[in-house]
Amino acid sequence: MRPLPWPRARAAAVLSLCCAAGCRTDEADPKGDGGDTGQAARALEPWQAPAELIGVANIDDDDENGELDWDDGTTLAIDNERVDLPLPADLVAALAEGHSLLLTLSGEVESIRVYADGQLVLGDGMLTAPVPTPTAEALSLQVEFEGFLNVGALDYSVVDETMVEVDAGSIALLSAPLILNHHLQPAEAVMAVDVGGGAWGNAAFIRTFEDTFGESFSTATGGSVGWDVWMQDEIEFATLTAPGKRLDVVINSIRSQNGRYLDRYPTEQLRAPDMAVMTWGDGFPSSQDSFGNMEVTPPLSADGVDYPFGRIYYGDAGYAQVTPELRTLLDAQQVQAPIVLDVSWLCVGHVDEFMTFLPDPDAPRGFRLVYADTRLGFSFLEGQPAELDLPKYDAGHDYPTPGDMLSDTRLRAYNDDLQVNLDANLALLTEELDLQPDEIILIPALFEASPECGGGALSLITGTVNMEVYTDPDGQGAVVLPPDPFFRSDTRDLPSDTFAAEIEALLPASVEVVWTDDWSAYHLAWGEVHCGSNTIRTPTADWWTDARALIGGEL
Amino acid sequence: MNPAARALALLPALTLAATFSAPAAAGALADRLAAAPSPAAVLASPDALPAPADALDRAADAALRDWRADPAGAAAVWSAAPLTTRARSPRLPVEAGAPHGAVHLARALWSPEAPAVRGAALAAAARLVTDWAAVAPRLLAEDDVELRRITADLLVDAPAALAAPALALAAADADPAVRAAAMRALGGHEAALAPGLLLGGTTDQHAVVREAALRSAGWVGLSAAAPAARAALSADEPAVRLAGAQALRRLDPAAFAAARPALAADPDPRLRQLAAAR
Repeated sequence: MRPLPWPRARAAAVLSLCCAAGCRTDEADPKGDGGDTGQAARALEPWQAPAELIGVANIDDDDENGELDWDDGTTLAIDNERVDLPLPADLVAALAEGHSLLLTLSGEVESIRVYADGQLVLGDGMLTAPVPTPTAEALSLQVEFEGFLNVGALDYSVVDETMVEVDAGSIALLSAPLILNHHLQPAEAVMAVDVGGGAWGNAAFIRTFEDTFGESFSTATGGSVGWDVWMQDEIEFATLTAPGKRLDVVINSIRSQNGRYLDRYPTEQLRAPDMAVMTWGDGFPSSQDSFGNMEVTPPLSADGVDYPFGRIYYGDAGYAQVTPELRTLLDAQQVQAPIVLDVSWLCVGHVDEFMTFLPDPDAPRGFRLVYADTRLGFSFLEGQPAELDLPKYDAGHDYPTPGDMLSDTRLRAYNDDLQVNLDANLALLTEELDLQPDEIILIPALFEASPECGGGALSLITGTVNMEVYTDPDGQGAVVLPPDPFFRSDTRDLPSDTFAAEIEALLPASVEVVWTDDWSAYHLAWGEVHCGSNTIRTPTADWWTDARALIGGEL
Repeated sequence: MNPAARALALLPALTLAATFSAPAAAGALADRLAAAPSPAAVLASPDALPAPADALDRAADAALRDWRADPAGAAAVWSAAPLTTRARSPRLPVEAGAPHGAVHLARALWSPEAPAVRGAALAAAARLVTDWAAVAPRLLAEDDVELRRITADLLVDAPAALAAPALALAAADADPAVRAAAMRALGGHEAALAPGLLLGGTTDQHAVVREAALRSAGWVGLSAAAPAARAALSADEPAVRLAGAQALRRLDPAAFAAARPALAADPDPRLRQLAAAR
């Protein structure tokens, strides 16, 4: 840390302000002898103030009055986002006996406030002020931040009754970056939208989640959210952390607006003390603004740089991108350097349609990239009985058998062409993440062109990579819920499904696979299990130590 | 359709009718379902569609038209939640309502009141009615570009005899999005269906049309398009270069092999990947 010098001139200004604030100044140097009052100077140990104070933006609503706590001056007793800085007992005693503690705020002063026992001292235009005379034996300062990575400094000067400075120093102030969650963080809760039963409902999907996660699973009723089942797309979970503090942030996508569809779900169902809801961007959304298109790699090192919180990756369709405000925000956080992938070839255009990451303690860096590959998709098909009845694919895709898929030359050509997009994205990921071949699991996949979507690609065989990943508390394994492929004659006989068996043989032993029926409400509507679920996770690293090098090093 | 199959087909609709609030209305709907005209006939007769018979019928129509505004209403009609695709477009679960659904689909398709639903209604109808393309020329004369675009794209799976005249119209459309859709649809047919249309597309003034034409030409093996594919390798637009290279790989492997060094130095990573592919 670089200590900021305490300028004498500023101290003088503080003294003037102190007078204006009604401090006891009537006896200050009345003889003009430099403050020698003839009294014995109080012995005061130098304040061993911390070199820095780390905090989180006060953007939740602890008093639940509908306003952000930064905006409404929530009382100290309720607000737990302010950073507490107790003053040493001897300093408090000295202040009570006539010493003064003078504070000066610098840096991003519009976004930082300092309180003394809940009373605003600095901020909101006040940059220099004395701490009020204590009325009790204890006194604490509190520091409050408005935003992410707010940087400032709190300079202090202790002067005695004769206006002689007896102690001085500086405390660096820094607020947390906004950090998006990754799949190696333990899962705490998972959610989806329940649109009921019937041929086009998701009763089986909901039942699987309930059976698997019990009380950790919650639903929004379909009617309350406009029958919008795409829970992944509406919200992205992130965290703000500081020593002893955790604030979860729900980023509410601009994909739905004006209270329609899932737009109100975050504020009505998720917002709570220590759970903030924020939106970045406005205007007409693109599909790329959905958060199935916003994911994070596990922690890794690449090109000599440690990314203890992983790296964000999202897709760019060329003709449409993630809203600029959100891209700017994510870039500014510095710790998860985003990677941009090409999703122009997809109908929906989300990164979760072709890749995911799974925890695997046996992998070199503790994870595997699971990545769609159409060559393996056709290899799988070629190993199947050509006349195998596939009732789901007959009704949903007009392919009654594997043989019908294999004999469709256009389907083969289409997949051959789009594989180059998959390969190009994988090459970019390999370079950006220093991926080694044994860290990559290629998964059989097949896509088909959607006439309704202008020829964009949709999963033909259910997109396995598009799975819910519910990570274990130790981050070493997970329960994963991929979409049931229904690649079988008897749709009720999962053990007979050869595609499911092939996938299970490929996935790491660290994951427990729970195949999930998402066929009608998700697969046929251009999404899969991951698209229809979302997960709150536990932060597992301390950015103020682990990611210091990424945010500019020393303050 | 034999009576048993027809009864099976009607079962979901009868179920929804039974769950509708008024038993009498459910009975009326069941009667009307039993007397429903064939989906093909309904779809092909936009000027002779049966008018909504009663409040229930009107509610069904309204729910479709106002699908985005009233999904709950649509759910009541269709017996289950109407699907929102992940790309935010409506997907009409027509299978659950057929053949009764065809009447409502047809009204939605031919109604100008809800343009957002017309494309979804057409897509649903195309799944339901094999010969839907008989009405494609009429749809391609509509003002709605998106409806014309989806009409052209859906011709990919239409019978060749019905698709050919419609594709000729679409390929001459004033809007490049519709012409590109026609080129994509041609990729689902034999090369002999309309080679001239595909070749014409490879020199279209709009890149999106050239890209689609080149890709389809490669898929259908239209060797006459090989020179156009070779020329496309020097196009300004990366998507056109990629489509040209992929077409050339199929139409003239020797020329593609000769082009590999240049492709390996292309600024677009997809072309570099293609150059490195076996």
